[in-house]
Amino acid sequence: MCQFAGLNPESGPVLEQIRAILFKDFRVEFRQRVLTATLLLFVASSCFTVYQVYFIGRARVTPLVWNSVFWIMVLFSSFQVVGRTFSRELNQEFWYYTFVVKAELLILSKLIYHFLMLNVAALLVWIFLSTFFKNPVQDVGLFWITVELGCLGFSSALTLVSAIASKAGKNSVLLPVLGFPLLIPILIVVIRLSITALDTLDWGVAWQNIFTLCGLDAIMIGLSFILFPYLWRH
Amino acid sequence: MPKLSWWKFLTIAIMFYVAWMGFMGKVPRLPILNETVRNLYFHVPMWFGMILIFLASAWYSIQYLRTGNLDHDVRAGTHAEIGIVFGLLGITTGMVWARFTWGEYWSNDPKQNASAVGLMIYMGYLLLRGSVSSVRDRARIASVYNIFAFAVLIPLIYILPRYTDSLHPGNGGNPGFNPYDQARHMRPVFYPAVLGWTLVGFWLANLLVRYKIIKNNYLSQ
Repeated sequence: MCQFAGLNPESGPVLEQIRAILFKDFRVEFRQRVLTATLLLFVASSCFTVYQVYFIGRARVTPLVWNSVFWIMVLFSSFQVVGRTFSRELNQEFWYYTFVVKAELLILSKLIYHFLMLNVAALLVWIFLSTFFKNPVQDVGLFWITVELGCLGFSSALTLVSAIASKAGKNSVLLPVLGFPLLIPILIVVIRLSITALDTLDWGVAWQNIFTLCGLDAIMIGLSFILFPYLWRH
Repeated sequence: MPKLSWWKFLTIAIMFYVAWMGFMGKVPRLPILNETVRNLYFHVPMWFGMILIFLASAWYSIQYLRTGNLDHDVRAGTHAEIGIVFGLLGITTGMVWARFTWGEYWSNDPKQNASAVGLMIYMGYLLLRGSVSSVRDRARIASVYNIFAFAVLIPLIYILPRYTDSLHPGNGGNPGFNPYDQARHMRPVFYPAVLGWTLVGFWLANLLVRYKIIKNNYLSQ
């Protein structure tokens, strides 16, 4: 328990508490290194498998196909990232957490943690796909804005769903079933936006999608923030 | 004989009217649509009904989280079930209709996709309810998911289809049911049909809720 020494609910500003939880999560991650290593291997092997499928199937990877493959990879990695994080907080160490942190701060810091890890995943996918296939993205800036907003949307939706599924006690089974349909709205906007980034069209087309994406992200983050305390209470 | 409340008599009257006018009433002759335009009275109200019933379900979930009264959770779950029935009927009638007008059962139309996702979300909700055995836990977890899911469903159904042209009548220059194309004599049937079918849904939910609450009380004695 000594690693939680930084947590103190009564005193300390909000940012300090969030920093403490995040720091703890990354420290656990660094000590065990399982999730990061799993993520790396997952992305590497799945990208290589996709490469084999396209190579042996003699399918031409057009820019649009590359874009779709990229988002499928990020989508599946997001389930890898979010998959097990709540098991500790909701089962083994639940009572400890109820005493030391506010629920709102816990979900917020988990969300930031998932967002950062998903960024790592997206970067890995980007690197691997660019090595195996020729990278077709023209407007890299717009593409990465899309990736950031997409990762934010994925992590905010999946953080709450993962908490729900862990609470129900069947995280590995329920998370994909509950999560996939909820990700489709974000996925539709994200893919349309990244198609714009493939060829340098003017940004006028992109703005509407960026606003929609920001709106969706805001809805999900706001609702996670409001709803998680109810889930947390016993 | 138990007394029926006034809105149930209203439902019966409206449904007789809709059934008669739906099949016998005059409809405009439109290319491709022809007589299938009558689907307006049966397919389209399913969607309005589904959304309103899901809205009620989300409302009862909010009420549960506010009050902690388990009856609200029973209502939320039951309304979700009835909403799914409406959704399945809507999607089936839509597919049969699409086969004869668009040529395919499934044409990747944004509205078709949105409704399929909606059904998946609410079936997931029922699955979640089924996988928790403790009553209090189930109520709380399912309520949280229900509110979250409804908040995602609304942008999906109403905003995203506007991004791409839909094949649906009235979209993308297709002739159809939009207010300008709709003939004078279709509107007096269409609006009551929406109201009537929605009321049928709430009536069904009402019956199921009463049955479940009585059963729960009996079991807990």
